[in-house]
Amino acid sequence: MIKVLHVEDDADIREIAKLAMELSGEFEVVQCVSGPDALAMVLAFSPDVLLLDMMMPGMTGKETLARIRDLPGMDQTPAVFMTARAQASELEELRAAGAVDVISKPFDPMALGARVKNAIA
Amino acid sequence: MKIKAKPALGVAVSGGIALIALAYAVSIFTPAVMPWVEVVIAAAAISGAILVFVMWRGRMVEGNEYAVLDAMPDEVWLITRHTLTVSYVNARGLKRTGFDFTGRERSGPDCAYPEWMGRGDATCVGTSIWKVLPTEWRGALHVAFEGAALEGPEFGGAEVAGQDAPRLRVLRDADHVFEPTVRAVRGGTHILLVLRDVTQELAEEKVKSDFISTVSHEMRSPLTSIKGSMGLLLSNAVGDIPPSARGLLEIAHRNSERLVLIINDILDLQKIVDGGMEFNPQQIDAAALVHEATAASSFFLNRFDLEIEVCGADRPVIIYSDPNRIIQVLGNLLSNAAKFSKPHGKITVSLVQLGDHITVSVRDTGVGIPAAEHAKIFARFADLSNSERARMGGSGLGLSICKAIVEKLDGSIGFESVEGVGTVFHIRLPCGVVEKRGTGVIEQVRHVG
Repeated sequence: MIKVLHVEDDADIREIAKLAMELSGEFEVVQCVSGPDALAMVLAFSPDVLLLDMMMPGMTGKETLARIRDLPGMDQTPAVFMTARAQASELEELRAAGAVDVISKPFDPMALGARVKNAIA
Repeated sequence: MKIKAKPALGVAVSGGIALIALAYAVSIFTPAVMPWVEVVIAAAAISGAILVFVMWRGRMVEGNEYAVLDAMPDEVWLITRHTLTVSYVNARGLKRTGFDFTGRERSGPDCAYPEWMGRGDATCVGTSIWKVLPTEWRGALHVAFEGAALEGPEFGGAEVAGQDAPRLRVLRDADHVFEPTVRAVRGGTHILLVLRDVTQELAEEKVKSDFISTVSHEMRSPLTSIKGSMGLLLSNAVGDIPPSARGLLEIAHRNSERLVLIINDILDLQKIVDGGMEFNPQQIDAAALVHEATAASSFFLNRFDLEIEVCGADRPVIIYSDPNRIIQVLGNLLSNAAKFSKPHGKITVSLVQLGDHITVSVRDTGVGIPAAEHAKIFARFADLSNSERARMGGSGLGLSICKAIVEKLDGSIGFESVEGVGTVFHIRLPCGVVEKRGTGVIEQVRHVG
């Protein structure tokens, strides 16, 4: 099972993403509603991959990743961002921040699992 | 403006007075010529009176002209072309110079300003333009001045001051943004420079642009939920759906996709308008791009069971331009061609290089565009009725985006169409002229091929 930590402030999107990933039976998904929430549980869950929404109130996905990277054993965990802003420079910026992949919103739920799986390939 | 007329009138009046004085002196010493002298004096007096009247009248007209120019919100500068010195400036421009309206210097540049001069001369006449305008404008305005001197027409373009300029051809000083207009006047001996303050206008545009951008982005989150839910339902992720419900769900899903398309197009168009669209020019093979765009559109072509033929792309055609933007334009044209083609129709994409330009044409054998619609085909939301657009799955913005992108790449787009026969769209692009990244400035980078 691939352990995914999904950080997303929108409850509906969380539900769709969880349902989409768990359809294949290959993922174990734990979800958080914010960056601080993710920081509190990331070490205990020890995910194989991080799936982070970019625009979140308080702490953005990018800031959350930077903070997670400082935690022990978390400097190499692959990260995938989800963003509603898909300008090329923004995508490059997220990749530079350590993202393996950037998924634009709205995303295709049936392809989400494959994208996340590719991130750890 | 009667800038040259006043000195001429002054000389004439002075000459008349001198003539009268001379004639009077002669008459005193030579009584024999007295009658003739009286005639001369009378004639000179009449001429002088006429001249004084003309001068007075001229000053009135001139005063009215100055009053009009002084009331303008724009700065108006008349510049002597060869010396680039100020010949005239209106009240708005005068504020910049450090002089007040009574002609007394407040501070600032060392402008010559004799107090006896009339209001029209109450400027830094004869002073170099660079002593009163920001020196950092020098490069930009020199380009315009030379253009005006050579061609005489309207301002042809200047460097944009600052990467964040949301509009082309603006100049900035410490607090304001100006839109300059440059024209050659008075037979090419002078240059007229009009500076329009667009600071407020640009600020309002930015608020509008930010609002559109924020709203469009904010709509993506609910759309993600709507489209994602319907996608999962249609893939039977939560169980089978009755056929009747499936049909309705497909309608909703299709329209959510259309809404995504509209939002993306609105964002693209807004980015083009405010200069935020990124252009990444590089050396590319236009033939490869044609093949790539065609392959990327295979979904549409297969969906409508269309035949596609590619001509002139069997050898590399190297150009310097933005590949992603060209593919975006070609993809749009191919998608339109597919949507408006008759079943089992044919689409032909051809690439031709002629001199320092390439032309890519997308020809379909579709329904064609009615002649009455030709004039508005590139206007936003003007290509189809709303119901027809919904049926075709278009946003109504595609062609206006294509036009804006092609023009940003210093190219042009056009079409020919015969109703019932088909349509061909052409895009013409330079081989080596591109837009400097993010500035909106067109620049000759190099010539290839």
